[in-house]
Amino acid sequence: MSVSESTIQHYTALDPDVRLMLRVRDDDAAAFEELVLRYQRRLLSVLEHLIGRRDQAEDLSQDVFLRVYRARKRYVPGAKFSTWFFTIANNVARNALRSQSRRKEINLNTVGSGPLSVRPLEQLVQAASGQMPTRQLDKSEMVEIIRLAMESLNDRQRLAVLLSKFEGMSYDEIALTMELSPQAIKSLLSRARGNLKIILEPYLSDGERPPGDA
Amino acid sequence: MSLPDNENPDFGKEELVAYLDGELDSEAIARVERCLSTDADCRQQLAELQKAWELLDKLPRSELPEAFTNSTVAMVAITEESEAGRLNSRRHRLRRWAQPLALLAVGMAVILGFSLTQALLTDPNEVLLEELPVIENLDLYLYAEDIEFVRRLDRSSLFAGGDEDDRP
Repeated sequence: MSVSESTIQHYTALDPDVRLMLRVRDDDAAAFEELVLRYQRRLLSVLEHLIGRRDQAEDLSQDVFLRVYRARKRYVPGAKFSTWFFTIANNVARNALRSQSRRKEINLNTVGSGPLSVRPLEQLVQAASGQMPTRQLDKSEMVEIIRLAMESLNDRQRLAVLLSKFEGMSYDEIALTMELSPQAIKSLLSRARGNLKIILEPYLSDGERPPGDA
Repeated sequence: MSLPDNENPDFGKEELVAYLDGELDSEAIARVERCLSTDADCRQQLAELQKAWELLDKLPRSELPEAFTNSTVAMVAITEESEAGRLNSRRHRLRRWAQPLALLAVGMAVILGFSLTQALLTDPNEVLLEELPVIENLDLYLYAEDIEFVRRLDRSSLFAGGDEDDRP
């Protein structure tokens, strides 16, 4: 799909990361290093939450930067740089997840479009923490519960949530990144956030368990 | 949930989430805000969606291992260099054979061109004119098996006398 000259000029003027990538296109090594510095932590966070494995997330991060470098001669600023960048990251992650699911059967409480059953997650959390039911959760326990809640989403929902929450992307930007329509992203995020609300509902009152919960 | 005008049961939730994300147009915003002002259930849903979303802020951001940047940049540089090296080596192999093959092609072209030119430029009548003395006496020469026999005859005294003009 060709990009108009006005779009190119718009994003070149608007986005400093686009200008940096244009320097990378001209084989500026320092510009590439600057891009790595700016995006590595964000990328690693998204991939780690998406893939669930830190070591694999690190490998995939490097794979993403390698692909960015290899694609530099073909780069045309048709969107914000972060949109293009995370599109590459999404493709890398999708391939990795596809390989993962082919290699082993993953037993997750994956939420599709229907309502989530809280019970199984509740049991997981209790088994992991071994806590007394009325005790206030400490920070690490709360983090674990939130992490498990995220893992219970399907891959698409999880990525949409990560891009919206951590990258502050608009629905249009997420749609471009995930190659879906903005309406599809609206529905995806609605289901994902609805599911998170259901899972985390017992913990919404400042980390306390609701009374009577065993 | 009393957000109107849509048969999809998820419509109300979609509008609330999009409202929280700032993704609604002014007409939809007005619709949601009317619901919020009149419906307690609507308000509770919104509050719970917002709280659950804010809990995600507790998720830790990844800590980078030391020298991650350097190792990433080095990895890219090494990969590109090794691929460029493979490409150059392939090009070098092709170049090594290219020169002799080119010379051979030029040589063959010259030979072919020369032959064709010779064939095109040579007048067939010239050949006939050159060979006319033989052609005129061809009937006589057919009796002689070779030229050496004819020369021996000439040297012998069998045909002494007569004008030189009578000689073939």
